[in-house]
Amino acid sequence: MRADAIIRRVPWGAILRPLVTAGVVLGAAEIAQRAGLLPVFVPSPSQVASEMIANPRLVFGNLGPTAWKAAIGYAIAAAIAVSAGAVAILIRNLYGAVYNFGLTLHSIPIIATAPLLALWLGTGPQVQIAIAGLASQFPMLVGTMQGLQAADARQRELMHVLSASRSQTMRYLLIPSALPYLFAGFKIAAPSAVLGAITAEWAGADRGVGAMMLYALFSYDTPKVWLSVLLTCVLAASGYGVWVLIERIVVYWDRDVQLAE
Amino acid sequence: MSRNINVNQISMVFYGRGEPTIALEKVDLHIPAGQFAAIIGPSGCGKSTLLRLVADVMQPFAGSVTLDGDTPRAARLDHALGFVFQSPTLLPWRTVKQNVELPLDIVGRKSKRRSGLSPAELIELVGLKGFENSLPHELSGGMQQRAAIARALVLKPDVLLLDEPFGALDEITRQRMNLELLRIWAESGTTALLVTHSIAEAVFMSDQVFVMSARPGRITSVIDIPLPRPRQLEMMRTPVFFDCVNRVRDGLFGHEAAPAESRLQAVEAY
Amino acid sequence: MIRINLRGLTASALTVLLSVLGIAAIWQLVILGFRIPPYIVPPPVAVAHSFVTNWHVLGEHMAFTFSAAALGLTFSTVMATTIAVVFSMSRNIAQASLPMVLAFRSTPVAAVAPIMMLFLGRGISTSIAVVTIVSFFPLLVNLMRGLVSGDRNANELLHVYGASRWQQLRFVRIPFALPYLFTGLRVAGSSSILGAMLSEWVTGSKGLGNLILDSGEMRETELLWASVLTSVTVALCVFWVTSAGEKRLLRWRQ
Repeated sequence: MRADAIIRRVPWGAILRPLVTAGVVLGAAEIAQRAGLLPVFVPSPSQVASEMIANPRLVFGNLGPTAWKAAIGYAIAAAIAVSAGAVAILIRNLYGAVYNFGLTLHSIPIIATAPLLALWLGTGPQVQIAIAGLASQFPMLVGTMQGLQAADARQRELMHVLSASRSQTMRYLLIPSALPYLFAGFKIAAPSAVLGAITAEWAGADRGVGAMMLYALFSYDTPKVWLSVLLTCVLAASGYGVWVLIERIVVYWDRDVQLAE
Repeated sequence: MSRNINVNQISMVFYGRGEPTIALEKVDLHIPAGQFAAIIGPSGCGKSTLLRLVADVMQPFAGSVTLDGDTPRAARLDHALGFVFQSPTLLPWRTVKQNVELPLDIVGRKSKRRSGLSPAELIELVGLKGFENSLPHELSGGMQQRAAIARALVLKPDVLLLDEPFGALDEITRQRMNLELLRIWAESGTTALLVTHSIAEAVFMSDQVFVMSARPGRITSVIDIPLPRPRQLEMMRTPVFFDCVNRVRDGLFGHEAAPAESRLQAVEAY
Repeated sequence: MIRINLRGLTASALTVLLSVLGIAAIWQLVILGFRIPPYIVPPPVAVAHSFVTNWHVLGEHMAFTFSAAALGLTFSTVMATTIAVVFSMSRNIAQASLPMVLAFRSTPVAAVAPIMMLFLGRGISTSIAVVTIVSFFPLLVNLMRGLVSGDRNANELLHVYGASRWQQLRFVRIPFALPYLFTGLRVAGSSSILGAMLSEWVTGSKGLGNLILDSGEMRETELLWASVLTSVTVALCVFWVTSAGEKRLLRWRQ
C-alpha cells in the first residue's frame, strides 16, 4: 500500500489520547511527590526517570535478556501453535485433541511448571524461554483454529462454483479470512510471553527484569523497584502495540473480532 | 453464448436426524437458451436446492440436469456458470474491482473465456463506476449486490443463476435493481434462472415462471409471460401483467375462483 | 436452604478417588516404561511417602497460602460488592469512575506484587493485598452484570408497587446478582491461590509458593512434587466449590 495510505491507517488519535492522559497523570504525581503528599514508597516520576537515565547499563542489561527470552519463547510457541492449529483443521479427528492439549498446557500454572522445568532443564535462559512459550501458546492456537474456520458457507460455495482448487481456496479465501483472528491471537499472546518470562525469572535467574526486580526489592531500592515495574509494563505493552500496528496495516478491511475462549 | 437448461425428473433427498426429507420430487424444467426464467414457491419448496443442483453445488438423488447437453459439473469446470447468492458474498479484503476480477484470478490466463466485457466495463455496466477502489463495507447492500452480479458475469457465463438476489433490499431499491438486472442480462445474452419469492418480480423479469409447491418440492404450473421486451415499469399496470400475476398466484395457492369484488380491489391495489 | 445430596457426594468422592488411583497407576507405568530416573519424575509411592513424612510442613505452608488467598478474596468481595451497589444506584458515579476501574483490568501479578511489597513488606499482608487487587476486577464486572441485569420485569413490578430503591435492591437485585457473584468467585478463586503463591516468590514469605521453590533448589524432588500437587489440588478444590455454588444458585434462578 502507498505510504500516505499507511499513514492514514495509523490511529494517531488512539495513540495520542492515552499519551496525553499519561502525561497529565505523571505531571500530577510529580507535583504531589514534591509537595510530600505521596507515601514514602511511591517515588516521583522524575526520580524513576533519573534512575533510568543514570543506569543505562542496568536498564538495557536487563531489558535485553528478558526481551529476547520472551521473544524466542513466543516465536517457538507461535510456530508450533499455528502449525498445530492448521493440522487440527485439516485433520478433523485431531481437532478436539489439539484444542484440549493446548488448553491443558495453558491451565497448568507457572507455579508448577517453572520449578519442574528448572529441575529438568537446569539453570539458564531455557527455563524462561520455555515458560514464555507455554504462557503464550494458547491464544495463538485458538486464533489459528478459529481463523481457518472463519470463512462462511456462502463464501465456500462461491469458491466451489468458481471451480477453485484447494490451494486456490486456501490462498484466496481461507488465509485472508483467518488473518483478523490470527492477529487477535498474536496480540493477546505477546504480553503473556513477557509476563511469563518475568515471572519465571523470579524462580531463579541472574539477568532480566524479573531478576532486577527481586534484587531491587531485597535491597529496598524503591526507585529501582518502580523502574522494573515500569519496564515490565513497557515491554508487555510494546509487544501488544507492535501487533496492533501491524494488524492495522495488514488487516485493512473493517473487521473487529473477538476470540472465543 | 448461452445454453439451454434441462432438468429431467430430478429428485433430491436429504438425510437428517429423523426421517429422510424429500426436498424435490420428479421435477422437470426446460429453459431454452437465452431465456430468462423464474422459479417461485413458498419457503421450503426446494427452489434454492434446485438452483444448487443446476450449479453443481449438490448432486441429485435421481434424475439429471443438462446444460446444452453437458452435466453441471462439466459446465462448472468449463466456467460456463455464474452464480449470484442471496447475500453479496464479496470478499471483504478485496476492492470492488478486485472482487469482480476474482474469477479471472482463479481461472488464470489459460481460459478461453476472457473475451467479453472487461471488469472495468462490467463495473460500469452495473452502475458502479467510480467505486472500483471501494471496499465492500463502504457500499450499501444494493451496490454490493451489483458488484456480485458483475463478478458473476466476468467470465461471460452461458448460464446465470440467481438465488433471491434482491431479497434483502427494500421494495423501491428492489424494483430499480430488477430493471438494472434486465438491462445487464440483455447486454450479456446469457440464459438466466432466478429464484424468488416475489410474484411481481417473477412475472416482471421472466419469459417463463415455474411455480413450485412444498413438501415435497414439485412444479405445479408453468406460466408463459407474453409481455414484450424490453420490459418497462408501466407494464406492471397492464391487464396482461395482472393476469399473469393471478395465474402465478393461483399456482401458488391452489385454484380458487376469486370472486368479482376482490378482483376489483386487487386492481385498485395495483 | 442448602440441601446436601449425600448420595451424589459419595458418588463424586468415589470418582475422584478412582481417578487419583488411576492417574497414579499410569504415572508409575510411564516411569517404568520410559525408565525415567527418580530425580526427574519420582514414582507415586515416593511422593505419597513424602506427603506423609512432611505433612505438617505442607499443612503449615498451605495454611499460609490459603489464608492469604481467602482473606484477599474476602476483602475484594466486600470492596467489589460495595462499589457495584453504588454503581448500580448511580450511573453518574459509575461513568466517572470507569477509567479508574479499567486500570485494574488484567493487572498482572508481576507488576502489582513488587509495589505491594514496598508498601507492606515481606509478610503475608503483601500476598493478601495482591490477591485483593488482582481479583477485584473480575468480581466487580460479574457483580455489575448481576445487579444490572436483574429481571427487568421484576424491577418494574416493584417500582409500580412504590418500592424504594433500597427495597428494589434487597428483593430483586441482590438475589439476582448472587449467582453472578459466584461466577466471579469461580473466575477469581483459583487464580487467587496462584496469585498468592506468586507473591510469595517475590516476598520470600512462608507459603506453598516458596516451599515449591525451595524444595526445587534443594533438589528434594519428592517434596517438590508433593507441594506442586498440593497447590494444584487446593486450586481445584476452590474451583470445584465455587463452581458448585454457582451452578446451585443458577438452578434456582432459571
